[in-house]
Amino acid sequence: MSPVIGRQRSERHPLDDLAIYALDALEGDEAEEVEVHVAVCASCRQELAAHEDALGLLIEDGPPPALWEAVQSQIRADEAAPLNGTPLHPVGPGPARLDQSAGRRGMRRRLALLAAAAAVVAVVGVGVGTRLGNDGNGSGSLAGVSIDGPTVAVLADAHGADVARVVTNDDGDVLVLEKLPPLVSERSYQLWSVDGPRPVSLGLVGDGRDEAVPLSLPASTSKLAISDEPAGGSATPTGPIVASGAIVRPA
Amino acid sequence: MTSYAGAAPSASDPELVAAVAQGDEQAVAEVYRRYSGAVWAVAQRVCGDRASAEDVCQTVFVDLWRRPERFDPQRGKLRSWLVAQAHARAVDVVRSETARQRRQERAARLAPTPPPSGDVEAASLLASLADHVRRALDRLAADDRDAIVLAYFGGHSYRETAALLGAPEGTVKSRIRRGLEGLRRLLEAEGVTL
Repeated sequence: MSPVIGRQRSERHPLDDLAIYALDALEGDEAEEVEVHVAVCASCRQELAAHEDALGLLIEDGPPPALWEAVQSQIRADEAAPLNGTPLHPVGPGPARLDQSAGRRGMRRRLALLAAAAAVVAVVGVGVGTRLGNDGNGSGSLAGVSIDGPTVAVLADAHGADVARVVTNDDGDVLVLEKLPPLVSERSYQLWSVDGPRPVSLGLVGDGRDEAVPLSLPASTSKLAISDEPAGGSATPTGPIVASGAIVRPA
Repeated sequence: MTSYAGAAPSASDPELVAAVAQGDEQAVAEVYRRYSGAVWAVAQRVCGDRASAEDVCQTVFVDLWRRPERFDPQRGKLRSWLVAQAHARAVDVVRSETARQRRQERAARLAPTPPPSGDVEAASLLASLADHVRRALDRLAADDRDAIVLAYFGGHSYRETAALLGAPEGTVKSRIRRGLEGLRRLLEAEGVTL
């Protein structure tokens, strides 16, 4: 019996939770319950894979990122120093197994992730140091643009932290990029009105090194978003949305 | 110099993963060539910052090298599986303790101000998607669509999603399932496949 798409909830198949699990929106014990069920239920494994296929279609292929050399360094380091002293890749195919403790959200995977992240830092440490070294260099760029005046919009990042705001004063509206990190070369932040069905560009707002950008916001704009785009800007957002928020004008 | 192009380009995905299990570096290079663009796209969308997305992307491919047996070709497609791996890791990043701390600090600082509403965040996330994806999502009921967009692209748990939308948790659970099932039907009807 397969838990086919349908409205009724089966006692045997946690179909609501399975969908939420596919979105990584289930946490803690609830996620573990799904993992335990999926480990023993072939039809739910199939259902989860179908959900993942659909979600995968929401993601567009971009060009490969320039990270292969870092990946290669890590896998070569693994070969030189195998984990636990055992060869990582024994000759002959191993049995396919479903390792529950290594589920996508399992503790073992988190530990592996931390270990891998530490290794990544070791491999790309020079790059990270360079990036940090360029940080905090925006002082003085406020010259000529006042950032005094009432705040009419606060823009938060995906974590909910405030990263930018819009103030209004004699200079008109001014976007203050308080905590957006400086971008790498050939990238720029772009401001969008997201009131309608399609985002409308309100212009490029620098690479995060200029902290105050004078704006001319259309009166109809009430929802703003900032994305990370190629330096010349885009007709529609192509990079990640790094901040969003609503404009609230004083009555 | 990057030398991953050209390795076993005719091999099927399951053949490549089997070769990875044998320790064939060129096979993992070919998997990287095929799917790192998708892995990178999901990592960047969910993390929202380049450095975290790079960590996620590298981890996904190094993990495939270390534990290729975790991919079961009987169960699903390699691309979907890698995208799911990247999504799970990216969600871990955005839900990390640091993120929690920042949220708490912000809540304390801005106590009198209402939090950003879920529909604004959903609208901005939706606006950043490709046309065909937005078209498919727009054919779902708005409530179902917003729940999926906030959870999948915003990296929010269903409880956070419910709070953002001001809806009961049970309702949001139903919306997510209904929306995801609807999306599958729409994509299938339109013949969109991997």
